[in-house]
Amino acid sequence: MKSPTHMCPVCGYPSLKETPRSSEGGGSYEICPSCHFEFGVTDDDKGVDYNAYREEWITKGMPWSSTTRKEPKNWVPGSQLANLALRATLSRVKGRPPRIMLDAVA
Amino acid sequence: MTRQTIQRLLRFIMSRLSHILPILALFWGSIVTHAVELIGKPVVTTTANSATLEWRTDVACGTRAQFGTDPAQLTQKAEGAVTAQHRLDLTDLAPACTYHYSVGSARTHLATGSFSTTAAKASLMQKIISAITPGTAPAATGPQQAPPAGVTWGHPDSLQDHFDRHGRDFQSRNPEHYAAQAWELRQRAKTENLPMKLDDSDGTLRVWEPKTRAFAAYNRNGTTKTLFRPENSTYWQRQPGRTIQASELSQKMPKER
Repeated sequence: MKSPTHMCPVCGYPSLKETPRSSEGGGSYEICPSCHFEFGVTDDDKGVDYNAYREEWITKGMPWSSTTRKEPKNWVPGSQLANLALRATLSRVKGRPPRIMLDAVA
Repeated sequence: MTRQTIQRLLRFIMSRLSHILPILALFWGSIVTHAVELIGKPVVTTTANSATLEWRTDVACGTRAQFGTDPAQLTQKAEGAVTAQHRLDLTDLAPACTYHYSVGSARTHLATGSFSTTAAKASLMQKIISAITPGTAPAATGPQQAPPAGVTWGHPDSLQDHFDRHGRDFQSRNPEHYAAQAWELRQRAKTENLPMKLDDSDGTLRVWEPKTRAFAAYNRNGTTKTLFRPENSTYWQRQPGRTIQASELSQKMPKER
């Protein structure tokens, strides 16, 4: 049976292996292969929030970040972000609801 | 120069090229399509912490090997000179461990295989202790060696990313070494009763080693999530979970997959 996957609240990558934060608020320490945000480290240790990190990633051109895990075929980072924005408008993301800043995307 | 003259010149050049081009194409084709061939099989010699790969090819080509403990993820690389007699020394390997490899050049894959390193020898002190203590068998190995990263790391395909980001904190030589250091911290957590917190909602164990400022997190099954050195001085205090003692850790060890 395929394990459930989770969406990255920073870039919308749909296949994180773990939920970014537990119900007690702890980070999963998973590094998103798309944007390289490490939950529990980039935020809790470096003090960078999702919006700031997302803006920086967009400014850099939304590169695929993992050096060993290949980007999915026909990967379109803009579509990822659009899916994230859609989900954010339909429901709250548990733990930290992202406020999507789409100005930087336009 | 008139237009007619230019046209005559071009026709002359093209007529000569039409004789030369097929010959050039044949020559070029023979270079491009020649495939490097392996002569015989690669020969591997091993010790507890190293291995030497040797193989021969029919023509000189690059020397490259990729290896690792997981045959689907040969994450470590070694490269050598352009030659027909290839030799690579692989170092910092774990003892009594099976490694898989692929050899070839940058463009060509030639062969795959596997080898096992030998067991580590008992230290001189252990031999002395076993010699003077009646009824004890000599220890076959030194301090307990970490199992391969494929066993101890939670998501093996993420190990490289974690090593790239945090390996420098611990002078880790390679991803395998980095994973071993995380495993060793978990052992110290048990033996030295280091500060630990357990998040009951997802089973994450968090360990803090004050003297090295090392932080590690482990899954419910004992595999490692991450190892790093926080910059923030209050990082440990802000982590969720209830404080636990070392005695509660005995059942949470990673198992062979």
